[in-house]
Amino acid sequence: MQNIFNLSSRFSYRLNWLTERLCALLVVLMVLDVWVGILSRYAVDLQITWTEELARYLMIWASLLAVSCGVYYREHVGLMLVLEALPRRVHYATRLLIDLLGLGFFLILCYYGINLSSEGGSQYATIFNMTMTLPYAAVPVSAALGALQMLLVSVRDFSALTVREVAQ
Amino acid sequence: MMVLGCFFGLMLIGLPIGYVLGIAGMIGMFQVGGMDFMNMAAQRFFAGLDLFTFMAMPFFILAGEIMNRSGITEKIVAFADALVGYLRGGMAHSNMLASVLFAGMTGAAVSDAAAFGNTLVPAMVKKGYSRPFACAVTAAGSIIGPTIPPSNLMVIYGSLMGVSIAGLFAAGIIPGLLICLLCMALIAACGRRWKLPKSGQRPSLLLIIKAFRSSILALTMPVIILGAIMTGVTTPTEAAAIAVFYALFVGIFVYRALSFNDILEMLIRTARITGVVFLIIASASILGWWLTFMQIPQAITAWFLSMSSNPQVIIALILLLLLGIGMFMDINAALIILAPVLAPLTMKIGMDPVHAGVMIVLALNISLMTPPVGACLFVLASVTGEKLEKISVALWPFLLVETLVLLVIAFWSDLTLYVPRLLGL
Repeated sequence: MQNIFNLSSRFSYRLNWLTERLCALLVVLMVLDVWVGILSRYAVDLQITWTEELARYLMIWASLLAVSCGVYYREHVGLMLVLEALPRRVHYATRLLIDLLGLGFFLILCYYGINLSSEGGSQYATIFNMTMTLPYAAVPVSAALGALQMLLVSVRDFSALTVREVAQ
Repeated sequence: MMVLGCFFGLMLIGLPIGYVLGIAGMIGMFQVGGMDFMNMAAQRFFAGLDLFTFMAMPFFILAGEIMNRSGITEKIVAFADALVGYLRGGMAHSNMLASVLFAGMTGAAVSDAAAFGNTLVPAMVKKGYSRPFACAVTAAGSIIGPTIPPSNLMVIYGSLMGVSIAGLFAAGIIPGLLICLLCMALIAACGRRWKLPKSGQRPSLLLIIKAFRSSILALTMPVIILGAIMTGVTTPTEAAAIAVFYALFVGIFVYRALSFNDILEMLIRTARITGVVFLIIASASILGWWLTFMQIPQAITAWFLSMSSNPQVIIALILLLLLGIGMFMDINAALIILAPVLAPLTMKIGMDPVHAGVMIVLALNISLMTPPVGACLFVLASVTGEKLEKISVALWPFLLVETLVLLVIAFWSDLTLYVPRLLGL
């Protein structure tokens, strides 16, 4: 158990570390992009029209990737009222069920996201002659990341629990 | 029925609301059109976020984070303290006033509650206030932030319902000030009975000017943001991006308080906070498709109108619904689900869309501090280590005052719309 815990928590940590930095980079790009847009609209006419659309796609990528960070820190919270009141065993069983449902949600979203992204190959964004594959790919990629992180933190938290139970 | 059953069932067992909305929505799509319709889930998930106006949210969060880290909070609190700190219950007064001054920089109540809970509550306890009271004042003040612009909820409401965000921002000023004023009146009126400490002398004018000067750079920010938006010079998103620039400039070059690591951490926090809210928005957009397809908003509108044809009664019913739902559900989720349902209803009874929006946002904000599931209460309880029950007891007079403000705002449209009309929005 200890080994599984170490492995999953270390992998989960590294994955999150990387995701966080990628998100930060995307936020920086988004901020810079909107600044350029403002500059071009109010100060010097740079003849660029792509800033708004690019910013939207950067925002979607950054925020959806960050969803998996929320999974890592367990920041996506639900109603705790009933859950807290349940007897211990039922409580943990329900928490496991919650993790499984979350995992299922991300996997389904990933599956249909792949469809969406490949269909996006025939749709064109209004900028850079780009197809919509890359913007749409934010959905399956982040859903896959969310699913993986969900699995890892679930193993992390429940194996930690078992270790504690054994120690008691 | 099955969709609604799943929705409430899953929510009850504690599944995060972002997943609940998505799963219930997918079940709805599957029920309506089988596997073929499921393709739409990912499409809706993406399209739900694909709005330029939403970007104001991460920008306001980032600007607020930067200002906070640069030590702005302390300076603003010091200024508020110089103004009203000498009164009985002075720190409670300055907590309220600081909430107003701080409101122009942040858009979310929960982060205000966390920031103030960390700094102001311990300071108040040290000066002889009871901890539950200090928490209650902070909770009551924390909803001023998202009522006075900028406000993330208003950005969401305006973006989704096509209502002018500038108008909503302008209309939020009076309710926010009213809450502050009435809560301060309450503190002043009950100060003796609650045995609030009185500390210090009335500060000299010189001291006030000094405190004002050291916080002037922070106080300028809301003026820039709101000025740019309300005069229509920039869009809210652009104004928010300018706010980020201003905060960075002040933080790096004037206060010299930001290191590379600080900035990295703030960027990550911004992405994480945004991620949590955006998951809810995106998932709600899946369920939203089903709601629209099943014509649920129309059904609910008809149901409301069958109860009464009197607009006042309808407004009262809407407020009850909002406060009730806000007690149990994340307010972003509640707003996203309820806005498309309630907006047509308020139109039907002749409410101005801006007025309706401010009323809905204010009602949901107030529900942030109602037990059993007020997010602000939870954050304060966990940050300060005080018991939820004790905070709730100390909170109820403030809750009463704020509900009063809500009623005034809901039923007196001319007051709410005074500022937007003044600005021609």
